[in-house]
Amino acid sequence: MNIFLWITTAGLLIFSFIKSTEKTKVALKIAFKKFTSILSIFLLVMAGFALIVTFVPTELIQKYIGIESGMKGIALSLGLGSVSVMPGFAAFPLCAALKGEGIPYYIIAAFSLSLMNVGIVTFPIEKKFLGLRVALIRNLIALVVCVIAALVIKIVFGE
Amino acid sequence: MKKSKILNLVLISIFFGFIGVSYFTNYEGGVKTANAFLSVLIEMLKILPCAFILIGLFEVWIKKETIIRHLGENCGIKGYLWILLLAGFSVGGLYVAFPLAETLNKKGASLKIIFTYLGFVGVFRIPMTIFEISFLGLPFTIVRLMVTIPLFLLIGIVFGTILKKRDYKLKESTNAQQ
Repeated sequence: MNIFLWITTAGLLIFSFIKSTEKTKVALKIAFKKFTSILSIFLLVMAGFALIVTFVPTELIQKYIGIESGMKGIALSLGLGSVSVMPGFAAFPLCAALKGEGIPYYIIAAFSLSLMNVGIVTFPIEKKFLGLRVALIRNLIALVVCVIAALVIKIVFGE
Repeated sequence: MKKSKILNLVLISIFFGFIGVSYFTNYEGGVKTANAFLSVLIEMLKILPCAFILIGLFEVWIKKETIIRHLGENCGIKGYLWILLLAGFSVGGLYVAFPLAETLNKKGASLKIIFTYLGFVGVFRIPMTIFEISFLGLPFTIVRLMVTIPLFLLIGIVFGTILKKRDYKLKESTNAQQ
């Protein structure tokens, strides 16, 4: 999968270079800027991951968010995703690292989807725009969508 | 934003300090942590440059203005397509989406459109999606989109219709009108 990604990127990059050197330079600058801006949180998330896989027993991780964790695992990862404010640029590497540890896709989906659709920390801002009731309802509906998506992914990937 | 970055750096320094001390004192847990950290870092660095370059190319070659231009008026079913694209081009999390929803509101977009946008923006931001595909693979992303896009479309329409019947208005804009 990595190879496919590199080939696609290289191909598009070459194509872009042929079309316009200037624009391609700007694109690379954007890429570099974004990379440096997330570097600290990225390293931190990876450090946290390393600490957890070293010090938390594998059986324990598997029990709570492993392949057999089912609805409990979904609930736990939904909770974590809802309260976290991690940028997606750091969250997806974490998800991939978790996948490498054998955490199933449906747990990852519950976490990453709730991270982006349900906001407990950002709730005060949302309340200002939507009003308390509508903001609450929107978050609850989003939570339900996350559960449905996680369950469909569980079924599709046979987990 | 700045403060959180400093905090991150402090925490990372503590982490590296822990690793350093562990090496000197031959503390097994710390050495194991360092190995886990390095191996996951290498794995991620194989993907990260591609993901960011793809995002950079996307931002340079595809113009956001074209999308915005089509959004002023309510244009039926097409409106939902444009709103999907607008969500695709949004940057930042939901907290950036709310001010934009307000702008849409002022431009006369219906509540159905606005709430559909708030749903789409969480699941269809293109840079995020590029990132997701890079790290979790295309099949995962396709399944996720096939579930969430129709659901949020349906929810946006139903929710928008109900709220309209109840004469609901976005808060900030009601304040602005007073």
